[in-house]
Formats: sequence, C-alpha cells, structure tokens
Amino acid sequence: MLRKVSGTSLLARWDPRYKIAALLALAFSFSAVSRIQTIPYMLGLLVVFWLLSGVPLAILGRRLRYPSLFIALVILMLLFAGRGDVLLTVGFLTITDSGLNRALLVAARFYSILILAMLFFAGTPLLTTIRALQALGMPYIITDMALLMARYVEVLHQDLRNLHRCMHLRGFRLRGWSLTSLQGVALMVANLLLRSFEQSQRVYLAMRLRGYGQADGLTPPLTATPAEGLFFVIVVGIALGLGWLG
Amino acid sequence: MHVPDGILPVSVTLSGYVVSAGIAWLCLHRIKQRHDPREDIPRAALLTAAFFLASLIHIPAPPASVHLVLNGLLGVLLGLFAFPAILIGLCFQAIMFGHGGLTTLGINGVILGGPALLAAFVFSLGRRHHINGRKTAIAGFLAGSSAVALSALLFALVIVTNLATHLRADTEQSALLALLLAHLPLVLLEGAVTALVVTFIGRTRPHLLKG
Repeated sequence: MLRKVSGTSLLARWDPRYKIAALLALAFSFSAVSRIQTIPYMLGLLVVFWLLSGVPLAILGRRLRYPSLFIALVILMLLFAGRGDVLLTVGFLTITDSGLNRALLVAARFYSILILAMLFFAGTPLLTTIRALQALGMPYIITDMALLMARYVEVLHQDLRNLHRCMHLRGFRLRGWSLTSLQGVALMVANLLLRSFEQSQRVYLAMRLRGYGQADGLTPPLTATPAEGLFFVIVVGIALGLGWLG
Repeated sequence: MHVPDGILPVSVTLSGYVVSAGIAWLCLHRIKQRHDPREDIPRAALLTAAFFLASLIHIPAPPASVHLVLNGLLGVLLGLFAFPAILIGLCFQAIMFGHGGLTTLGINGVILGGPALLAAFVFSLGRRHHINGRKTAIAGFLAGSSAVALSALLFALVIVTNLATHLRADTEQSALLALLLAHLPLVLLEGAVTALVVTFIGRTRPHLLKG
C-alpha cells in the first residue's frame, strides 16, 4: 500500500543509510519513554515526520487496522487488570490509576513506533532499503537472501494461488482440523517448497553465469549530501534527548 | 507469536538484539566455512520466501482461524540458514505488514529462530540411524511440535514476566495459562503438518532433508 506513496517527499529522498540508522535511534528512544508527560513530545515529533513524509492520513489509517488487533488485547488487559488505586468501576470492570497509566504508555509507544516506521519506509523501494543495509555492513549472506526473497516472493505467491486454485477445482475445501484438510495443507506447502527449490537451482545457475560472487561494478554506490548528514545528526540528537527525558 | 513494539523495556529489546546478533554471527560463521557459501543462498532465499507465504495460509479453528508458524520445518530444511532466514522474514513482516516490531526484531528472532535451530537438531537426531518413512514422520512431528512449543513458552515468558509487575497476581497467572493453552492446538497442528511435509519431501526429494 505504501508503494503508492510518492518518492519525492523530503523523507523519501533522504539517504536510506541515514534513514535506517535514524529510524532505529528514534524507535528505541520511543520505546524508552516511561512517563506520560513525555508522550506529547513523541507525538509532536511524529507530526513533524508525517509532514516531511507526505503520506496521506487515509493510507496510514488503513495500514494500522491489522497491527491494532495484536496490541488491543494487551492494552485492555493492562487497563482492566492493572494494579493500583481504583479510578473507575463499570460493572465488574475496574480501571486503576497505574493500569491506565501503563495502557496509555504502551499504546502511545506502539502506535508511535509503528507509524514512524511506515513514514520512514514510505516511498523507499524495498531493494533500496536492502542495499542500504548492505552499505551499513550487513553480511552479504543476509542481504543476498533478502534481495532474492524480495524478488521471488511475488512469483511464488502466484504459484501458491495456482496450487490453491487447482486443489479447489479438484474439490478440496479447507474445513476444520480433519486429516484430509491437514493433508491438503501439507501437500500445498510441500509442493510450494519443491517448486521454490527447483526454481532456486535455475536462479543460481543464471546468477553464476552473470558473475554472481564477483566484484559488482555496475551498481552505483549510495551517496549523501552534507545536509543529509546534518539532518541525521539533528534527528539522533532529538532521539537522545527524548531518551534522556524518559 | 510476535512481540509488538512498545511492550518491553529497552534493556530487554536491546538484549534481544545482542543475543540474536550473536546467534546469527555463529550461524553465518559456520556457513562461510563451507566450500562455496554462496551456492546455498538462492535455495535458502527461495525456501524462505515459500515459508513466508505458507505462513499466511489460515486454517479454520472455530470461532477463529490459526496460521502456521513453520519454524520447525524451516529448521529441518534450512539448517543453519534457518536463523538468518527467520530474521529476514520478521524484518519483512515488520516493514510490510506492521506485524511484530522493529525494536523487538531481536527478541522475536530469538523466540522463533532459536527453536528452529533446535528443530534441525531434533530432526537430525531422529533420523541418525535409519531413514524410513515412519522415522521421518516421527522425527518431523517432534521437530515441528517442539519448535512451536518452545517458541510459545519463550513468548509467554517474555510477555508475562515483563507485564507481571503491572498486573494483578490472579490475572498474571491466568494470562500465562491462557497463552500456553491457546498454543497447545497449534503445537499438535504444526507437528502434524511438519510430519506430513517431511514425509512427502522424503519420498520425492530426500536430499532436501539434509538441512
């Protein structure tokens, strides 16, 4: 969904190496926030980065739906089963001061880090991000695997859809936990794995023919301007300041 | 079974990164000692992509549905590549779907990747002496179920120990019990699917089960 976001915003054009390092610094400083009073500073920063990213609010809203399912349970548990003095009682549910405090902190930290990551990666192709990781010193085994995975995940997704369609046409229906259902799922997974294995052999031979493993003289190195470096120093300084505020 | 951002203290998330980096370094170090370490990269990458997609398959479990984790099967088929493969998969999930987290990437790597390596070991032990269909299936079941069981245990421990100080004692115990019980069907399901998959692969491409 974030692929639709324009890559011309200030944040999208920022050198991806600085962007990844700054994102990690900010994410860890957000996760270190332990006082309610610091939340407004965190949200203020988020607004600044949202303005710099040019990501439409509607897209952000849609992207937040799925991850919200995971955190909702934790927030509810903290809210209604927290320790401390009772603030409010609704039927059999009680909200305590400490529970409310903790739930607010967890929710603020979770959504802030999630939104921040979306804003930072919006408009940056995945392959650029992987190249930046490589430039930051990530071992070649990991970056090569990530590049190939990014390249072939769509191809294999199509294979999986075809497999599912074929099984459906032959009358297979995934219903409950019957042995037939499990066998069907296992067969689908096994076939997908075998197809990917066969394809990987062809991919490897093709890559060797194109000089895989030799020095790469075709890909231009990533370059950054002094202004981008200065912006990075400022953002890391802000992250440290936020971590100090706690 | 992914710990999201914002729940754990920084000391725990940073420790997760350190432990994860250590395990990844050990795996990569062993891989680089092979004759041609690049030879296995496309196989590991494409199988990782296939696992990434297979984990999106939802199996109905009324009133909800469960999706497969498959970290045990990943360990069986990829061996030492399983840990970096899981780190890459978790990174993709965090970036593409917001599933898991950035600060919790390390701890999630340990929760899912550590048991994958254990599954590889369990499977190789189970098939050490005789390679036949029944032994392969049993070794596959043990590898698949033990990996998910250990992951669920680690996940529950991480979540409950870090939330315990903020929860009432009765809720803390109930939460731990509920988390473990909720994962019990998944342990059996993963074991069964892993056993069926390795039996099928053992019949058609047995060399793939070397790890």
